[in-house]
Amino acid sequence: MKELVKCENRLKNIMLMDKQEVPQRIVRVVKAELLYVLKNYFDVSSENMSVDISLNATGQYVLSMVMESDSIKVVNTLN
Amino acid sequence: MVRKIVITSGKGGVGKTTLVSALGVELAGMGYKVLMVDMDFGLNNLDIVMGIENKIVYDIIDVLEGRCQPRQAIVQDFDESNLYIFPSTHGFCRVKFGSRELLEIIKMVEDDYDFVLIDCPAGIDGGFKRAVECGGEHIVVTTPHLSAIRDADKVSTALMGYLGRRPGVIINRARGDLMVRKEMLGVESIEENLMGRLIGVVPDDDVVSVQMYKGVNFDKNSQFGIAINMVAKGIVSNAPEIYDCTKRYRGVIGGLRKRIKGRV
Repeated sequence: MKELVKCENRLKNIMLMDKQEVPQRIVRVVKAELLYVLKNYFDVSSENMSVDISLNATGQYVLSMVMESDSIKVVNTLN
Repeated sequence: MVRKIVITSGKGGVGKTTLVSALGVELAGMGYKVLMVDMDFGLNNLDIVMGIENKIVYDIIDVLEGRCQPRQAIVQDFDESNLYIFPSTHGFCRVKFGSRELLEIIKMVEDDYDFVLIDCPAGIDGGFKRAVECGGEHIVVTTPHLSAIRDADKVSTALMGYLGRRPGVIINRARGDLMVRKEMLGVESIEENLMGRLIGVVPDDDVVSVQMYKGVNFDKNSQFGIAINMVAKGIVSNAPEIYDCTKRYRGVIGGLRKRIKGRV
């Protein structure tokens, strides 16, 4: 019985480890697309922005984004 | 309207080709006209499993390269008159064709059939992509072993991303005696770890290996036969029927069976 529980836990860990291998290509594409949208509202460049995709304890993907900008583009926010 | 079903796995050796042939036999026995297409170029085995290796004149590469028409390459099964096989190439070949060409060939013949079962090569590279694009429905085969489950999950995830829906999953070679003894992962544990939706459980049955050596169809009264019948009915009705592989190992008689199986 204990062996089975160990096996189930091992399987869960293996699956989590596989999910953690998020291809960098996807992170780059997501960052580029987010930047494309954010540029409409903020003065921002790729260097002032970081995107990270990680896994939480329940195996769900969590996207974290940090962006730094000196100003808001007022014209695009009037509507 | 024809239903085109791709059967894939990720890991090799889980019994994909055996299941394709068994489902083909079962669906044909139910009165449907079935075409099984072997899309494993190079490591194909559907011809051997069906016992038609000496009946092949042309194969899918001959059709792709224009040496014959698709209907000339298709072989009728010896025992089931409703069952047909479109064999793959025998030798090693560099496949210069993509899914578009394969789809066109299947479209030329699909209207003659109720079901087209596509035996997909193992893995998730070019062969997988070629086969996956030829089907409208997808089934992933796994066994209760960690490596098989892991690879099945990767394939299911890839299919979900590509198709936008969860593929069906069949757990093959399930050892009910080991599951009852808690020495093998149970069906529920496997199901909760997989991206796909469970549509069948097929027990490990020595009868299948023996009959494959002889090149004959499986015994429909065997546990394997009963499980395959349930999978086929589930596919036809879109309402899965799941075989309980632990049932015969519970209770007094079940306990005896469990002990005997463990000693052999």
